[in-house]
Amino acid sequence: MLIEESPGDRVMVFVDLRNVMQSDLVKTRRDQGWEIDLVSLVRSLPGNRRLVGVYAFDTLRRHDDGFVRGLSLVRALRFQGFRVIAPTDEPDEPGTQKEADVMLATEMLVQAFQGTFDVAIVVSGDRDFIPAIRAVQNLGRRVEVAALQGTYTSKLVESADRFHIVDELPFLRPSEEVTA
Amino acid sequence: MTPPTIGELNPEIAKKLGLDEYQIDQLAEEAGRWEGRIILVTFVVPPPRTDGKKDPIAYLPPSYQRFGVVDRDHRQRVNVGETWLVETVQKGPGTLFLIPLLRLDPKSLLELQPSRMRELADHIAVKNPSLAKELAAKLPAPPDPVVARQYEEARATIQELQKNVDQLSRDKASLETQLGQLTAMKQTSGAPASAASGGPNPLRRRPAEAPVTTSSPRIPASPSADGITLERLEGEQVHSTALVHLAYEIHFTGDLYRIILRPSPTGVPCDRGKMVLRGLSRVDHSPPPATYSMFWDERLGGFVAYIGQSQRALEPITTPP
Repeated sequence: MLIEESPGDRVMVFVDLRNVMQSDLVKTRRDQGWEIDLVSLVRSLPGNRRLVGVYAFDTLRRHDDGFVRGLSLVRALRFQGFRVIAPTDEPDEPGTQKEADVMLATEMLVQAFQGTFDVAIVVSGDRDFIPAIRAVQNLGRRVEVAALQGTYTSKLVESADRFHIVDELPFLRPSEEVTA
Repeated sequence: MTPPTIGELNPEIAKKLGLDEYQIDQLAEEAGRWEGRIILVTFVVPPPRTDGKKDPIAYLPPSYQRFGVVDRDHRQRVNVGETWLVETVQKGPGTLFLIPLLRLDPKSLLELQPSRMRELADHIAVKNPSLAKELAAKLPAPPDPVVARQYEEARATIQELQKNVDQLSRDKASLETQLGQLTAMKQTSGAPASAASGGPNPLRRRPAEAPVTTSSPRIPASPSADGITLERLEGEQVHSTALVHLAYEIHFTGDLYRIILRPSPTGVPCDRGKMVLRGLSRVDHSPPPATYSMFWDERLGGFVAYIGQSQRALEPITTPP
Protein backbone atom coordinates (compact mmCIF):
# COMPACT_ATOMS: atom_id res chain seq x y z
CA MET A 1 0.00 0.00 0.00
CA LEU A 2 1.34 3.41 -0.99
CA ILE A 3 -0.17 5.33 1.91
CA GLU A 4 0.29 3.67 5.29
CA GLU A 5 -2.26 3.90 8.04
CA SER A 6 -1.06 5.75 11.10
CA PRO A 7 -2.78 4.90 14.42
CA GLY A 8 -2.86 8.58 15.32
CA ASP A 9 -4.86 9.58 12.23
CA ARG A 10 -8.31 10.98 13.00
CA VAL A 11 -10.85 9.41 10.69
CA MET A 12 -14.31 10.77 9.90
CA VAL A 13 -16.75 8.67 7.90
CA PHE A 14 -19.42 10.18 5.65
CA VAL A 15 -22.07 7.70 4.56
CA ASP A 16 -24.44 8.25 1.64
CA LEU A 17 -27.19 6.05 3.06
CA ARG A 18 -29.26 5.86 -0.09
CA ASN A 19 -26.28 4.78 -2.18
CA VAL A 20 -25.50 1.92 0.19
CA MET A 21 -28.99 0.75 1.12
CA GLN A 22 -30.36 0.89 -2.43
CA SER A 23 -27.42 -0.92 -4.02
CA ASP A 24 -28.14 -4.21 -5.77
CA LEU A 25 -25.90 -6.24 -3.48
CA VAL A 26 -27.52 -4.96 -0.32
CA LYS A 27 -31.02 -5.41 -1.74
CA THR A 28 -30.16 -8.96 -2.78
CA ARG A 29 -28.72 -9.82 0.61
CA ARG A 30 -31.74 -8.40 2.38
CA ASP A 31 -33.98 -10.50 0.15
CA GLN A 32 -31.86 -13.52 1.10
CA GLY A 33 -32.52 -12.88 4.78
CA TRP A 34 -29.49 -10.90 5.87
CA GLU A 35 -29.51 -7.77 8.00
CA ILE A 36 -27.25 -4.83 7.21
CA ASP A 37 -25.14 -3.74 10.17
CA LEU A 38 -23.86 -0.27 9.26
CA VAL A 39 -22.10 0.05 12.62
CA SER A 40 -19.94 -2.95 11.85
CA LEU A 41 -19.21 -1.57 8.39
CA VAL A 42 -18.16 1.81 9.75
CA ARG A 43 -16.07 0.19 12.50
CA SER A 44 -14.18 -1.83 9.90
CA LEU A 45 -13.24 1.11 7.70
CA PRO A 46 -10.76 3.05 9.89
CA GLY A 47 -8.86 -0.07 10.97
CA ASN A 48 -6.40 0.86 13.72
CA ARG A 49 -6.97 4.57 13.29
CA ARG A 50 -9.10 6.77 15.54
CA LEU A 51 -12.71 7.10 14.44
CA VAL A 52 -13.70 10.63 15.51
CA GLY A 53 -17.08 10.95 13.84
CA VAL A 54 -19.63 9.35 11.55
CA TYR A 55 -22.07 11.31 9.43
CA ALA A 56 -24.91 9.69 7.50
CA PHE A 57 -26.97 11.53 4.89
CA ASP A 58 -30.28 10.68 3.32
CA THR A 59 -33.61 12.18 2.37
CA LEU A 60 -36.56 10.69 4.21
CA ARG A 61 -39.75 10.00 2.31
CA ARG A 62 -43.05 11.25 3.66
CA HIS A 63 -46.07 9.18 2.62
CA ASP A 64 -49.50 10.56 1.93
CA ASP A 65 -50.72 9.45 5.35
CA GLY A 66 -47.94 11.44 7.01
CA PHE A 67 -45.79 8.39 7.84
CA VAL A 68 -42.09 9.06 7.29
CA ARG A 69 -40.26 6.08 5.89
CA GLY A 70 -36.77 5.30 7.17
CA LEU A 71 -37.15 7.08 10.47
CA SER A 72 -36.49 3.93 12.50
CA LEU A 73 -33.12 3.45 10.77
CA VAL A 74 -32.24 7.08 11.45
CA ARG A 75 -33.12 6.73 15.12
CA ALA A 76 -31.20 3.43 15.44
CA LEU A 77 -28.13 4.98 13.86
CA ARG A 78 -28.35 8.04 16.10
CA PHE A 79 -28.40 5.76 19.14
CA GLN A 80 -25.21 4.13 17.83
CA GLY A 81 -23.38 7.47 17.62
CA PHE A 82 -24.05 8.40 14.00
CA ARG A 83 -24.79 12.02 13.22
CA VAL A 84 -27.65 11.56 10.81
CA ILE A 85 -28.66 14.45 8.59
CA ALA A 86 -31.86 13.43 6.83
CA PRO A 87 -34.45 16.03 5.90
CA THR A 88 -37.86 14.94 4.62
CA ASP A 89 -38.50 15.10 0.88
CA GLU A 90 -40.70 17.76 -0.70
CA PRO A 91 -44.33 16.92 -1.58
CA ASP A 92 -43.79 17.86 -5.23
CA GLU A 93 -40.80 15.50 -5.59
CA PRO A 94 -41.76 12.41 -3.58
CA GLY A 95 -39.24 9.62 -3.27
CA THR A 96 -36.27 11.46 -4.72
CA GLN A 97 -33.10 12.00 -2.78
CA LYS A 98 -32.47 15.73 -2.78
CA GLU A 99 -29.76 17.78 -1.09
CA ALA A 100 -28.07 14.72 0.43
CA ASP A 101 -25.01 14.79 -1.87
CA VAL A 102 -24.51 18.51 -1.41
CA MET A 103 -25.04 18.20 2.33
CA LEU A 104 -22.41 15.46 2.51
CA ALA A 105 -19.92 17.45 0.42
CA THR A 106 -20.56 20.63 2.40
CA GLU A 107 -20.20 18.90 5.75
CA MET A 108 -16.97 17.21 4.64
CA LEU A 109 -15.53 20.52 3.45
CA VAL A 110 -16.56 22.38 6.60
CA GLN A 111 -15.01 19.68 8.79
CA ALA A 112 -11.85 19.78 6.65
CA PHE A 113 -11.61 23.55 7.05
CA GLN A 114 -12.09 23.20 10.78
CA GLY A 115 -9.32 20.58 10.88
CA THR A 116 -11.38 17.99 12.74
CA PHE A 117 -10.09 15.02 10.76
CA ASP A 118 -6.97 13.80 9.00
CA VAL A 119 -8.72 11.23 6.83
CA ALA A 120 -12.25 11.36 5.45
CA ILE A 121 -13.88 8.17 4.23
CA VAL A 122 -16.78 8.68 1.84
CA VAL A 123 -19.03 5.64 1.71
CA SER A 124 -20.63 6.05 -1.68
CA GLY A 125 -20.02 5.15 -5.29
CA ASP A 126 -21.47 8.41 -6.58
CA ARG A 127 -19.02 10.28 -8.81
CA ASP A 128 -20.74 13.58 -7.94
CA PHE A 129 -18.42 13.66 -4.94
CA ILE A 130 -15.22 13.90 -6.99
CA PRO A 131 -14.97 17.73 -6.90
CA ALA A 132 -15.55 17.77 -3.13
CA ILE A 133 -12.97 15.01 -2.67
CA ARG A 134 -10.41 17.02 -4.65
CA ALA A 135 -11.18 20.18 -2.68
CA VAL A 136 -10.64 18.36 0.62
CA GLN A 137 -7.42 16.82 -0.69
CA ASN A 138 -6.23 20.31 -1.66
CA LEU A 139 -6.67 21.31 1.97
CA GLY A 140 -4.08 18.70 2.91
CA ARG A 141 -6.48 15.99 4.09
CA ARG A 142 -6.65 12.45 2.77
CA VAL A 143 -9.89 11.16 1.35
CA GLU A 144 -10.70 7.49 1.02
CA VAL A 145 -13.71 6.09 -0.76
CA ALA A 146 -15.64 2.94 0.10
CA ALA A 147 -18.19 1.60 -2.33
CA LEU A 148 -20.00 -1.57 -3.27
CA GLN A 149 -19.17 -3.47 -6.43
CA GLY A 150 -21.17 -2.21 -9.39
CA THR A 151 -21.91 1.19 -7.85
CA TYR A 152 -18.69 3.08 -8.57
CA THR A 153 -16.70 4.25 -11.59
CA SER A 154 -12.97 4.22 -12.23
CA LYS A 155 -12.87 8.05 -12.04
CA LEU A 156 -14.05 7.91 -8.45
CA VAL A 157 -11.44 5.27 -7.59
CA GLU A 158 -8.73 7.44 -9.19
CA SER A 159 -9.74 10.51 -7.21
CA ALA A 160 -9.49 8.71 -3.85
CA ASP A 161 -6.27 8.33 -1.89
CA ARG A 162 -7.39 4.82 -1.07
CA PHE A 163 -10.31 2.69 -2.11
CA HIS A 164 -12.22 0.16 -0.01
CA ILE A 165 -14.47 -2.45 -1.57
CA VAL A 166 -17.40 -2.66 0.81
CA ASP A 167 -18.29 -6.18 -0.36
CA GLU A 168 -15.16 -7.46 1.40
CA LEU A 169 -16.04 -5.81 4.72
CA PRO A 170 -18.13 -7.40 7.48
CA PHE A 171 -21.60 -5.90 7.63
CA LEU A 172 -24.03 -8.81 7.26
CA ARG A 173 -25.72 -10.85 9.94
CA PRO A 174 -28.59 -13.31 9.64
CA SER A 175 -31.94 -11.72 10.36
CA GLU A 176 -33.92 -13.08 13.30
CA GLU A 177 -37.06 -13.91 11.29
CA VAL A 178 -35.33 -16.20 8.81
CA THR A 179 -33.11 -18.12 11.19
CA ALA A 180 -35.55 -18.42 14.08
CA MET B 1 46.89 55.34 15.41
CA THR B 2 45.55 57.99 17.78
CA PRO B 3 42.21 59.36 16.62
CA PRO B 4 42.20 63.08 15.77
CA THR B 5 40.69 65.44 18.30
CA ILE B 6 37.86 67.84 17.63
CA GLY B 7 40.43 70.68 17.81
CA GLU B 8 42.48 69.10 15.07
CA LEU B 9 39.47 68.40 12.92
CA ASN B 10 37.82 71.74 13.32
CA PRO B 11 39.91 74.30 15.19
CA GLU B 12 37.41 77.03 14.48
CA ILE B 13 34.59 75.26 16.32
CA ALA B 14 36.88 74.59 19.28
CA LYS B 15 37.82 78.27 19.32
CA LYS B 16 34.16 79.38 19.17
CA LEU B 17 33.31 77.08 22.09
CA GLY B 18 36.23 78.49 24.05
CA LEU B 19 37.80 75.08 24.66
CA ASP B 20 41.47 74.68 25.22
CA GLU B 21 43.54 71.70 24.09
CA TYR B 22 43.15 69.84 27.41
CA GLN B 23 39.36 70.18 27.47
CA ILE B 24 39.17 69.05 23.87
CA ASP B 25 41.21 65.93 24.67
CA GLN B 26 38.99 65.23 27.69
CA LEU B 27 35.89 65.41 25.51
CA ALA B 28 37.47 63.16 22.90
CA GLU B 29 38.33 60.59 25.56
CA GLU B 30 34.82 60.77 26.98
CA ALA B 31 33.40 60.40 23.49
CA GLY B 32 35.23 57.13 22.94
CA ARG B 33 34.65 55.70 26.41
CA TRP B 34 31.46 53.84 25.70
CA GLU B 35 32.24 52.96 22.12
CA GLY B 36 31.94 49.35 20.88
CA ARG B 37 30.51 47.75 23.99
CA ILE B 38 28.09 44.84 23.82
CA ILE B 39 25.33 45.08 26.36
CA LEU B 40 21.86 43.73 26.98
CA VAL B 41 19.04 46.28 26.89
CA THR B 42 15.26 46.39 26.81
CA PHE B 43 13.64 49.05 24.70
CA VAL B 44 10.89 51.17 26.24
CA VAL B 45 8.57 53.99 25.23
CA PRO B 46 10.53 57.24 25.29
CA PRO B 47 9.43 60.18 27.45
CA PRO B 48 7.53 62.88 25.53
CA ARG B 49 9.87 64.77 23.31
CA THR B 50 9.57 68.31 21.97
CA ASP B 51 10.06 67.11 18.43
CA GLY B 52 7.26 64.55 18.85
CA LYS B 53 9.39 61.53 17.86
CA LYS B 54 8.60 58.23 19.48
CA ASP B 55 11.56 56.03 18.63
CA PRO B 56 12.15 53.43 21.35
CA ILE B 57 14.97 54.10 23.78
CA ALA B 58 16.85 51.92 26.24
CA TYR B 59 18.02 52.85 29.72
CA LEU B 60 21.59 51.68 30.04
CA PRO B 61 23.29 50.34 33.16
CA PRO B 62 23.84 53.05 35.84
CA SER B 63 27.57 53.35 35.14
CA TYR B 64 26.78 54.65 31.66
CA GLN B 65 24.78 57.61 33.10
CA ARG B 66 22.85 58.00 29.88
CA PHE B 67 20.32 56.32 27.71
CA GLY B 68 20.64 54.83 24.25
CA VAL B 69 18.66 55.21 21.10
CA VAL B 70 18.55 52.86 18.17
CA ASP B 71 20.93 53.73 15.39
CA ARG B 72 18.80 55.21 12.64
CA ASP B 73 19.86 52.55 10.14
CA HIS B 74 18.33 49.86 12.36
CA ARG B 75 15.18 51.55 13.68
CA GLN B 76 12.81 49.39 11.68
CA ARG B 77 14.06 46.22 13.40
CA VAL B 78 13.40 47.22 16.99
CA ASN B 79 10.07 47.48 18.83
CA VAL B 80 9.16 48.65 22.31
CA GLY B 81 9.28 45.85 24.86
CA GLU B 82 11.94 43.77 23.11
CA THR B 83 15.22 42.76 24.69
CA TRP B 84 18.26 42.97 22.48
CA LEU B 85 21.97 42.37 22.62
CA VAL B 86 23.32 45.63 21.21
CA GLU B 87 26.61 47.22 20.33
CA THR B 88 27.12 50.79 21.47
CA VAL B 89 28.25 53.54 19.13
CA GLN B 90 29.24 56.86 20.62
CA LYS B 91 29.07 59.71 18.17
CA GLY B 92 29.42 62.41 20.77
CA PRO B 93 29.54 63.02 24.52
CA GLY B 94 25.75 62.68 24.96
CA THR B 95 23.41 59.94 23.85
CA LEU B 96 24.71 56.52 22.89
CA PHE B 97 23.53 54.94 19.68
CA LEU B 98 22.76 51.26 19.74
CA ILE B 99 23.18 48.78 16.91
CA PRO B 100 20.89 45.80 17.56
CA LEU B 101 22.69 42.49 17.14
CA LEU B 102 20.42 39.77 18.46
CA ARG B 103 16.89 39.85 19.77
CA LEU B 104 16.55 37.68 22.83
CA ASP B 105 13.29 35.77 23.01
CA PRO B 106 12.52 32.14 23.80
CA LYS B 107 13.02 31.16 20.18
CA SER B 108 16.39 32.84 19.84
CA LEU B 109 17.57 31.43 23.17
CA LEU B 110 16.32 27.90 22.74
CA GLU B 111 16.71 27.48 18.99
CA LEU B 112 19.86 29.44 18.31
CA GLN B 113 21.18 28.11 15.05
CA PRO B 114 24.87 27.13 14.88
CA SER B 115 25.50 29.72 12.14
CA ARG B 116 23.97 32.46 14.31
CA MET B 117 26.01 31.33 17.33
CA ARG B 118 29.18 31.52 15.25
CA GLU B 119 28.23 34.98 13.99
CA LEU B 120 27.66 36.14 17.53
CA ALA B 121 30.92 34.63 18.78
CA ASP B 122 32.87 36.20 15.92
CA HIS B 123 31.32 39.56 16.65
CA ILE B 124 32.19 39.35 20.33
CA ALA B 125 35.73 38.15 19.56
CA VAL B 126 36.38 41.10 17.25
CA LYS B 127 34.39 43.86 18.84
CA ASN B 128 34.73 42.99 22.50
CA PRO B 129 37.99 41.17 23.22
CA SER B 130 37.61 41.60 26.96
CA LEU B 131 34.23 39.80 26.96
CA ALA B 132 35.65 37.13 24.67
CA LYS B 133 38.53 36.59 27.09
CA GLU B 134 36.12 36.39 30.01
CA LEU B 135 33.93 33.87 28.20
CA ALA B 136 36.93 31.79 27.18
CA ALA B 137 37.97 31.53 30.81
CA LYS B 138 34.51 30.19 31.73
CA LEU B 139 34.34 27.61 28.98
CA PRO B 140 35.19 24.03 29.94
CA ALA B 141 38.52 22.81 28.72
CA PRO B 142 38.32 20.75 25.50
CA PRO B 143 38.31 17.02 26.18
CA ASP B 144 41.45 15.04 25.94
CA PRO B 145 41.68 13.57 22.39
CA VAL B 146 42.25 10.07 23.74
CA VAL B 147 39.22 10.30 26.03
CA ALA B 148 37.11 11.74 23.22
CA ARG B 149 38.08 8.82 20.94
CA GLN B 150 37.28 6.27 23.67
CA TYR B 151 33.94 7.98 24.25
CA GLU B 152 33.02 7.73 20.55
CA GLU B 153 34.08 4.07 20.44
CA ALA B 154 31.96 3.29 23.49
CA ARG B 155 28.99 5.01 21.91
CA ALA B 156 29.38 2.98 18.71
CA THR B 157 29.55 -0.23 20.77
CA ILE B 158 26.36 0.70 22.64
CA GLN B 159 24.56 1.34 19.37
CA GLU B 160 25.71 -2.02 18.00
CA LEU B 161 24.54 -3.82 21.16
CA GLN B 162 21.21 -2.02 20.99
CA LYS B 163 20.74 -3.31 17.44
CA ASN B 164 21.46 -6.84 18.65
CA VAL B 165 18.93 -6.45 21.46
CA ASP B 166 16.29 -5.29 18.94
CA GLN B 167 17.00 -8.27 16.69
CA LEU B 168 16.79 -10.68 19.62
CA SER B 169 13.47 -9.12 20.65
CA ARG B 170 12.13 -9.69 17.16
CA ASP B 171 13.39 -13.28 17.17
CA LYS B 172 11.76 -13.83 20.55
CA ALA B 173 8.40 -12.56 19.25
CA SER B 174 8.68 -14.83 16.23
CA LEU B 175 9.50 -17.85 18.37
CA GLU B 176 6.59 -17.05 20.68
CA THR B 177 4.32 -17.05 17.65
CA GLN B 178 5.60 -20.45 16.57
CA LEU B 179 5.22 -21.74 20.11
CA GLY B 180 1.62 -20.52 20.16
CA GLN B 181 0.86 -22.27 16.90
CA LEU B 182 2.49 -25.51 18.02
CA THR B 183 0.63 -25.37 21.31
CA ALA B 184 -2.65 -24.85 19.49
CA MET B 185 -1.93 -27.78 17.18
CA LYS B 186 -1.04 -29.99 20.12
CA GLN B 187 -4.17 -28.93 21.97
CA THR B 188 -6.28 -29.82 18.95
CA SER B 189 -4.75 -33.28 18.93
CA GLY B 190 -5.81 -33.76 22.57
CA ALA B 191 -2.70 -33.11 24.64
CA PRO B 192 -2.93 -30.50 27.43
CA ALA B 193 -1.43 -27.21 26.28
CA SER B 194 0.16 -26.24 29.56
CA ALA B 195 2.04 -29.52 29.68
CA ALA B 196 3.29 -29.06 26.14
CA SER B 197 4.63 -25.56 26.54
CA GLY B 198 5.66 -25.80 30.15
CA GLY B 199 3.65 -22.71 30.99
CA PRO B 200 0.41 -20.88 30.32
CA ASN B 201 -1.03 -21.09 26.83
CA PRO B 202 0.05 -17.94 24.99
CA LEU B 203 -3.20 -18.01 23.06
CA ARG B 204 -5.18 -17.57 26.25
CA ARG B 205 -4.44 -13.89 26.35
CA ARG B 206 -6.69 -11.16 25.11
CA PRO B 207 -6.50 -10.88 21.31
CA ALA B 208 -4.52 -7.60 21.30
CA GLU B 209 -1.69 -9.44 23.04
CA ALA B 210 -2.10 -12.76 21.29
CA PRO B 211 1.16 -13.77 19.67
CA VAL B 212 -0.62 -14.63 16.44
CA THR B 213 -0.85 -10.90 15.77
CA THR B 214 2.84 -10.15 16.04
CA SER B 215 3.96 -11.94 12.91
CA SER B 216 1.49 -10.49 10.45
CA PRO B 217 -1.09 -8.22 11.97
CA ARG B 218 -2.50 -6.81 8.73
CA ILE B 219 -2.82 -9.18 5.80
CA PRO B 220 -1.31 -12.64 5.98
CA ALA B 221 0.66 -14.12 3.09
CA SER B 222 -2.01 -16.78 2.79
CA PRO B 223 -5.22 -17.47 4.68
CA SER B 224 -3.58 -20.25 6.63
CA ALA B 225 -0.38 -18.35 7.45
CA ASP B 226 -1.19 -18.30 11.16
CA GLY B 227 -2.07 -21.98 11.27
CA ILE B 228 -5.31 -21.40 13.19
CA THR B 229 -8.41 -23.20 12.06
CA LEU B 230 -12.11 -23.04 12.75
CA GLU B 231 -13.74 -26.48 12.84
CA ARG B 232 -17.38 -26.92 11.92
CA LEU B 233 -18.63 -29.72 14.14
CA GLU B 234 -22.33 -30.19 13.46
CA GLY B 235 -25.08 -27.94 12.20
CA GLU B 236 -23.82 -24.40 12.75
CA GLN B 237 -21.69 -25.25 15.77
CA VAL B 238 -18.00 -24.48 15.41
CA HIS B 239 -14.90 -24.88 17.57
CA SER B 240 -11.46 -23.31 17.67
CA THR B 241 -8.76 -23.28 20.32
CA ALA B 242 -8.12 -19.64 19.47
CA LEU B 243 -11.59 -18.60 20.64
CA VAL B 244 -10.81 -17.81 24.25
CA HIS B 245 -13.31 -15.04 24.91
CA LEU B 246 -16.75 -15.51 26.44
CA ALA B 247 -18.64 -14.01 23.51
CA TYR B 248 -18.08 -12.84 19.95
CA GLU B 249 -19.87 -10.53 17.55
CA ILE B 250 -20.42 -12.37 14.27
CA HIS B 251 -20.53 -10.66 10.89
CA PHE B 252 -20.31 -11.96 7.34
CA THR B 253 -18.70 -9.95 4.59
CA GLY B 254 -20.90 -8.62 1.82
CA ASP B 255 -19.56 -11.18 -0.64
CA LEU B 256 -20.25 -13.97 1.89
CA TYR B 257 -16.69 -15.11 1.48
CA ARG B 258 -15.47 -14.49 5.02
CA ILE B 259 -16.82 -14.44 8.54
CA ILE B 260 -15.47 -12.07 11.19
CA LEU B 261 -15.57 -12.90 14.88
CA ARG B 262 -14.91 -9.90 17.12
CA PRO B 263 -14.65 -10.33 20.90
CA SER B 264 -17.62 -8.55 22.48
CA PRO B 265 -19.43 -9.03 25.79
CA THR B 266 -22.80 -8.63 24.04
CA GLY B 267 -22.07 -11.11 21.26
CA VAL B 268 -22.79 -14.79 20.74
CA PRO B 269 -21.70 -16.86 23.77
CA CYS B 270 -18.60 -18.99 23.35
CA ASP B 271 -18.00 -21.91 25.68
CA ARG B 272 -14.46 -23.32 25.72
CA GLY B 273 -13.93 -22.47 22.07
CA LYS B 274 -17.35 -23.77 20.98
CA MET B 275 -20.10 -21.52 19.64
CA VAL B 276 -22.96 -21.43 17.18
CA LEU B 277 -22.48 -19.36 14.03
CA ARG B 278 -25.99 -18.51 12.94
CA GLY B 279 -26.20 -18.25 9.16
CA LEU B 280 -23.22 -20.52 8.49
CA SER B 281 -25.38 -23.26 6.97
CA ARG B 282 -26.83 -20.72 4.57
CA VAL B 283 -23.35 -19.90 3.30
CA ASP B 284 -21.67 -23.31 3.42
CA HIS B 285 -24.12 -25.82 2.02
CA SER B 286 -21.73 -28.76 2.27
CA PRO B 287 -22.43 -31.09 5.22
CA PRO B 288 -20.20 -30.87 8.33
CA PRO B 289 -17.53 -31.51 9.41
CA ALA B 290 -15.49 -28.80 7.70
CA THR B 291 -12.35 -26.89 8.48
CA TYR B 292 -11.89 -23.23 7.72
CA SER B 293 -8.64 -21.27 7.75
CA MET B 294 -8.67 -18.46 10.28
CA PHE B 295 -6.34 -15.64 11.31
CA TRP B 296 -6.39 -12.67 13.62
CA ASP B 297 -6.84 -9.39 11.74
CA GLU B 298 -5.60 -6.47 13.80
CA ARG B 299 -7.25 -4.02 11.46
CA LEU B 300 -10.72 -5.48 11.87
CA GLY B 301 -10.12 -6.31 15.52
CA GLY B 302 -11.19 -9.91 15.23
CA PHE B 303 -10.67 -13.35 13.74
CA VAL B 304 -11.32 -13.76 10.04
CA ALA B 305 -12.38 -17.22 8.85
CA TYR B 306 -12.52 -18.06 5.15
CA ILE B 307 -15.76 -19.76 4.19
CA GLY B 308 -15.55 -18.88 0.53
CA GLN B 309 -15.55 -22.47 -0.72
CA SER B 310 -19.31 -22.44 -0.51
CA GLN B 311 -19.75 -19.23 -2.46
CA ARG B 312 -20.68 -21.07 -5.66
CA ALA B 313 -23.71 -22.56 -3.94
CA LEU B 314 -25.32 -19.16 -3.58
CA GLU B 315 -27.59 -17.55 -6.04
CA PRO B 316 -25.75 -15.19 -8.38
CA ILE B 317 -26.25 -11.52 -7.62
CA THR B 318 -27.97 -9.65 -10.39
CA THR B 319 -25.90 -6.74 -11.58
CA PRO B 320 -27.38 -3.58 -13.10
CA PRO B 321 -27.13 -3.17 -16.87
